Amino acid sequence: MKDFFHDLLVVVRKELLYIFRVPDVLIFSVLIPMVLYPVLMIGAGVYSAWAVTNQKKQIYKIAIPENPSENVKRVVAILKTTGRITPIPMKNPDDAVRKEKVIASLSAAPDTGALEVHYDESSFQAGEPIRFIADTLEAEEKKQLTNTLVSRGISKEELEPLDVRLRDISAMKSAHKIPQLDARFAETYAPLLRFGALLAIFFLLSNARSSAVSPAVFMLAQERDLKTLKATLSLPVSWNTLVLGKAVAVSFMALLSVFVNSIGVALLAFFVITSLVIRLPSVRSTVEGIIQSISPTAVGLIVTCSLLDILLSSCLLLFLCSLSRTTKEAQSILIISSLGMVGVSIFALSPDQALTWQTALIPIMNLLLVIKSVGTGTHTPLPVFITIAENMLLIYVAVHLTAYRLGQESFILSGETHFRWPWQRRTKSIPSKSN
Amino acid sequence: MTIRAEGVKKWFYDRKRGEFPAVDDVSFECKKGEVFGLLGPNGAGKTTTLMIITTILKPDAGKVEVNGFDVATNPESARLNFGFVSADAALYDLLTPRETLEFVGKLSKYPKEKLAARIDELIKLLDMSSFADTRCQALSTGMKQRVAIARALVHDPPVVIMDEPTSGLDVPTMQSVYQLVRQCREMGKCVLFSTHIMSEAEKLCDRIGIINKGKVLAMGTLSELKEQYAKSDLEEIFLAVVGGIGGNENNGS
Repeated sequence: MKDFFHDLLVVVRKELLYIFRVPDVLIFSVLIPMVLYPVLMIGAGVYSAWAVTNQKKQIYKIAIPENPSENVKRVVAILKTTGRITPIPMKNPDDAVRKEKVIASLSAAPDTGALEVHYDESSFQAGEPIRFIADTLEAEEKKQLTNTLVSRGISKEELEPLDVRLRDISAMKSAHKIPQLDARFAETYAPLLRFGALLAIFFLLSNARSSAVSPAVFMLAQERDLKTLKATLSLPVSWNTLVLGKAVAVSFMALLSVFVNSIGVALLAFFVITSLVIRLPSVRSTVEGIIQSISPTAVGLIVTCSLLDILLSSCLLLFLCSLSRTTKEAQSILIISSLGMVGVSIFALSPDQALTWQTALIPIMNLLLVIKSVGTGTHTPLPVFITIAENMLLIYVAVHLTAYRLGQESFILSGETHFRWPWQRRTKSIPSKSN
Repeated sequence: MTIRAEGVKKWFYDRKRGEFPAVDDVSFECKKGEVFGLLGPNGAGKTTTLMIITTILKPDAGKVEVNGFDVATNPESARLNFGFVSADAALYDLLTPRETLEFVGKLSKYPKEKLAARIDELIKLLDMSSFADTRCQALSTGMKQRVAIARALVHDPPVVIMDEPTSGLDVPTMQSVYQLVRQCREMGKCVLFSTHIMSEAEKLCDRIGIINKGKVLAMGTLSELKEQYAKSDLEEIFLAVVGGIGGNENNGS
């Protein structure tokens, strides 16, 4: 066993040392993702700027009492200076909010007299205007504070703060500066957020498989074309270890791509969430809730399944590569296979698909379904165990089949000339020694 | 015996010819401290025989042992006992000679503490100091062949198998290869040397096996062959054994 790991490490080290010096592989696996995501972020930024410019033209209606207090009048005056808030006096402002006639209401609390902006957090339209109101008031407060401190030397305590509280009235809860997670909101958005997270994982795995194509072709088909394969096969190492070493090296390249892409995806997600998606407190609460609901076991399962997925994909790609007659053929086979695997990912992500006894028998897809079931908190131990065991077995089989294939003359020698399909079997018996 | 081949057969398939024998009942032995030459025209089956001995291909029939290890049933142990030099050097272009030697040395379980010294020794022996840390893609054919030989010797194996190692080399480099083969013999190694160049076989080999169409047609020391075929030099013996032009046209590998 010690020798096995020693040999494996030596093979992996050599393959990585080699592959890191191949410009094509680095370009496809690392550089393109590094360029792609900044481009996407610039695209998202341009869209965001366009969206913000368009939003400035929008006028938000807010309800105020028919007889507003002085405080309310003062805040309304501030909001009106933005040119985007139209106050509408109403007999029952909160009712208008619930009926979605206005996006919010501004009134003084009957008990304390404090100003409150009431809104319905479950409304899709509420986020941006509420953020706008909050930002405007905050800016005004800061402006006043700064002006006063500079011009009159008055301390902060002497100022009359705007003290406007945001209050979600959709569930008729008591007022909070940051309201508790709204059940309706969580029901609506939590599945979407989970789906988004799964989509990101599936995207990264698909990307890993695509990134594995180029190193796989290079490490097997192209090694044959460069005529180094014969020398490699005569090295004092078992061919299974050799193939596994190559598969681990291919997986490492795929993981490198995942790492680079993860940074891109994380930045993109951060950018989208902070710039484009509504920033209501409940969104934060929902995200926090989802993060808190993920147990270390679930994270472990997702990481294990992802690593297995990448290693199995690498092994399968190497095996498919060993079936090819030429490097070009290997590239074609692997690109088609990689696209097929993306198709499997999309299929697994569809809402109807779940990890069952039947789907647990389909390699790769079952790993994705485990990730999906863990992500949605619907996994059960036995199918998960079967899936992991099955895929490990498949890695073992794929490695052995590839190693077996390496020893066939139709692979080692000029592939096109000596290749034969399984049905082109030997028809003659081997002549006896006297022949 | 360090190499023993008995009744080895290998059949190939190609689209034009279908099934054909590439190696047909080849038997020979190669002893410690001996250079055994496998002499034959192009496509005679030399490379295929060597690929079977080096465990790259599996024989369809027969048995091959390297230092007592059966290449079909115990290939990994057999591989530890030989070093292989192929005709086209077949180096990893993007590695340097030193990295290549380290890779093979580590896989061969050569003692870790002695490996660096062994590599330095080979670099000095094969006059590779000036390009030991240059990527192989930038080396000339002669330099590459020296690296390939060093790779075969890095783990100090008892058997060295060379498949047309002087192919494409200039005269000085060829001479250094010959010198190295002689050194291997002096060190008590068993050298299996495949070639189609008569003078090479005459100069280097203690015994010669002439192979054509996958069969070993004649075998013995140079003097034995001269006596057997009543010819004065190896070229005449070779033509007498193999025949003229077209003697190998049905074979390939």
